Amino acid sequence: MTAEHTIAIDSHPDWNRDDLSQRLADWQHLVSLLGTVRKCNPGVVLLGPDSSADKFYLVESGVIALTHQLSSGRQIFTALRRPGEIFGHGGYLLHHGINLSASSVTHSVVRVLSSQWLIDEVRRGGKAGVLLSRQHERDLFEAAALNDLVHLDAGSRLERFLLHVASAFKPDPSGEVRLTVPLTDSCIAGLLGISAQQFSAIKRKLSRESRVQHFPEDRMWVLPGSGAARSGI
Amino acid sequence: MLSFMAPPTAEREPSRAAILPWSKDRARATIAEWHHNSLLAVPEYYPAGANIFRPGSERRSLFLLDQGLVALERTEQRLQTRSAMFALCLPGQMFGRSSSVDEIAIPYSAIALMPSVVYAISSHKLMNALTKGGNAGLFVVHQYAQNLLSAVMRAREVSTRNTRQRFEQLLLDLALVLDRRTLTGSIGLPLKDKDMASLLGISPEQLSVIKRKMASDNVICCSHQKNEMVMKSGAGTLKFCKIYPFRRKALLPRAKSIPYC
Repeated sequence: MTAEHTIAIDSHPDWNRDDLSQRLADWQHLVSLLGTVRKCNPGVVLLGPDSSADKFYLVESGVIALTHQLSSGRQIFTALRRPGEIFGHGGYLLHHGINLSASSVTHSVVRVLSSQWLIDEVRRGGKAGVLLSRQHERDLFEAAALNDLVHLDAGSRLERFLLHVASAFKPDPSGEVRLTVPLTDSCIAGLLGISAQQFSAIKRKLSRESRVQHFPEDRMWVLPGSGAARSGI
Repeated sequence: MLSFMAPPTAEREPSRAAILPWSKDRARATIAEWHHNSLLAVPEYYPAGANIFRPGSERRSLFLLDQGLVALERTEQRLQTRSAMFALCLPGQMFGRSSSVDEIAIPYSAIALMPSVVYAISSHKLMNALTKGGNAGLFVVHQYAQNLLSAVMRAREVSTRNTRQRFEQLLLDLALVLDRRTLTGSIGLPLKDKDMASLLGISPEQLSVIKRKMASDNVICCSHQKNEMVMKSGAGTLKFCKIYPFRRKALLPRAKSIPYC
């Protein structure tokens, strides 16, 4: 693998482990005695269109995928939520129902909290409103510039997906990250909005270019550590 | 290559999310509420073509568009040819990035497509409102959530609506926002076909094909001689003409304050 082919994981804006840790600590300081903790295996659906909007979730570990299902059954990938990020609060805040599904991508721990508590906390002032706005602003920024479905090709989106998931895993001393993503290829293809055939072709291409390695028997992905950065995604 | 291919026909959205279409009245009400909560700095005027900020700009601020139309444009580092508009900001909507959030360089620029009035939202006041809470704090959180939901819904449209429908919707949205009419009564579009194609995530050639198809279906009628395009829609007959009121400015212009009107 040549240096110019590596993804600069730790210099990539998506890769901001310290910031996530701080946000998790800030949220946990607020909610440590509240709500219920739920542990889930990969693939567990936490939230669906029929779920009640009066609960929201704080990711304490693992990665949660937010998707939107069309009437045709096709699933559109919306976002990933990592430790220190919340989801499921929008419906209550904006007075509409739940319009997304959330399921765990990896083994995850989430804290289930009351949406009304969140509103009350924002009204009361202090940390909750600041944390919530920061996440919204970051999401707004990513919706505008990072998770750009129109201008990014599927290969770049797959890299971005893996980088997001990677933030829940610890890199080894060389900076390489080994991710076990216990989702089938067709499931990840669905999350990225591409066909299984396109997904296979992209995997082959990324592997050939040493950008990402995939070991399907272990469902493991390897992202090389940074060196001289390939100007990436 | 675009991998998120638009389906051949529109799929019905089962979403219960209530995204109200943009309207002048709602935009005015939102801006008035920002004023009411005393969160805005002095208004800044940008002529057509001015950069409000550039990629990597030191100027980190969240902005509220009061009047005009702003485009967000990005240059792909790997593919210089993909320098393209990817989103429009309409009056009452926010764009940019507050200095209170992680220090990541903004990778896109914001350009006034027509004479625009923009408020920088004071980070200090924003933080104060959030820290104090109350209705002002809830208003800020609500605005963020509303803007985010609109952005996500727009991004989602790429997957849920076909390109022709999105083109028609783009023209309808622009007709609502652009109230300046030419002498012939046409709505002046400050966007080239290349820009509109880019906003739709397609090539200019694909847009030409869509326009030809719409013309053959009698939905639009283009007259290159008159530089006009007439579209029949549920909202009536809309007449557009392309205007190129500016050339891209090389430098960030000095913003000047004008009284709020």
